[in-house]
Amino acid sequence: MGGILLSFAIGLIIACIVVLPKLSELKTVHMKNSASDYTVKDSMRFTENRDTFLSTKVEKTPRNTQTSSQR
Amino acid sequence: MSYANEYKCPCCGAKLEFNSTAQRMKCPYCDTEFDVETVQDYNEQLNESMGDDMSWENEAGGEWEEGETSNMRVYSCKSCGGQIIAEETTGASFCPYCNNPVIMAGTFSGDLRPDLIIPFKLNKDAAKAAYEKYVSGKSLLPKVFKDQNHIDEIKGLYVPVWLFGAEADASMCFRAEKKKSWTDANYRYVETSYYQAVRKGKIAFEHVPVDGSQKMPDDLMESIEPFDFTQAVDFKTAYLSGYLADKYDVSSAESVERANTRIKKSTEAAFAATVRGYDSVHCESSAVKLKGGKAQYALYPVWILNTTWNNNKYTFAMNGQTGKLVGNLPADVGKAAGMFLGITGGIGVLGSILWFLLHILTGG
Repeated sequence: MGGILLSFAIGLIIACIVVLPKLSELKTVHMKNSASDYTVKDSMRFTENRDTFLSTKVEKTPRNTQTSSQR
Repeated sequence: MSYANEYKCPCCGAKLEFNSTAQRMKCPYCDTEFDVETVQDYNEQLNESMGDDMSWENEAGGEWEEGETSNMRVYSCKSCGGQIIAEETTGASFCPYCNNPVIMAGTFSGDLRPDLIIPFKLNKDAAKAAYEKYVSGKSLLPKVFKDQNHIDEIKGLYVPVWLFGAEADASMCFRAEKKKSWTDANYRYVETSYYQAVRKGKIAFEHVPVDGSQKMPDDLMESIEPFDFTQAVDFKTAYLSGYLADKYDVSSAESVERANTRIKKSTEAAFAATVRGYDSVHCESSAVKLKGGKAQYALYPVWILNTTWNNNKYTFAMNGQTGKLVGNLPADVGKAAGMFLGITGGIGVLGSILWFLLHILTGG
């Protein structure tokens, strides 16, 4: 039963990948939020540009070795 | 009453039009071509010698209601004398009686004079061809739309735009993470290293356009960007001949907010793109100040195509310089649903059969 559901789920995803771009190509009018086309070339200058290390955290979770050994 | 400007051919006296292919003024009757400056000078000299005052008054007709004419102007065609009633913002049009191209004197004078204009590079045939190409090859466009569809109207329009330029002074702070994982016999370890990235500096923008016309939808104008500003020239009314044109009815002060929004977004994106080498980056704070802002008034060339289908109006716009065409089209909902269900069902059934076969073969 799981295999059937998985097959239809894959079919649904592929249908979205095929159909949605075809629908979106019919709608080409939208506001343009970026002004990147109008950036003056090589105009970006940094007065401060630094990356500072803050801290490190280590999380450990037990491995499920019991399940692995059964297979 | 105002007079509408026309540019006469020095050879035959017919009305000249700006030819987008030759980038010169061309007589549609004798095919003679002239430089824009030459025609402008010639016609200015010609107008100086015109001493007649043909204005007259009569008392026919009723009184306009108060405010009814506040947005209207009456012009007189210099070719046939016909009255052209146009909106206050109309800068160039065609005489409805003799169809000669006319330019409304005064609409683009004084403070209203544009600084720059990008002349049309593409003609009406190019707009038609671009539209045909645009509607072809779209499988979810209703077939009847393509078959029954006829363009009602194609018009070349100079749209008023405000061009904003400024230097953005930005200060941004990002929180970035690097992750590393490993395992031993009993545990899985994930080490997360946290960083703070600070970016302060400047970036400059120029000629960010904002639609200065209420009649022209903002999203349509922004969808046909970008225009190549290197091809902009000093404004001359002769460029308007043969096209429609409006003066701005949205001021630069009203338009600046839109430019600010776009500049801020692009500044943040440009600065964020320099925070590299991390697995994830989040912006924690951002402050953008604009300095040295200046605005210019320009006219941009746009072909507008209108069509009607199923009682709905569809408007398309083509960049008159680059040929980029945009416009929303109707979708064949039934066909889209059929395609969606067909793909889902087809792959679902095929996958189920394969799963059963695999199940039988492996003896499960």
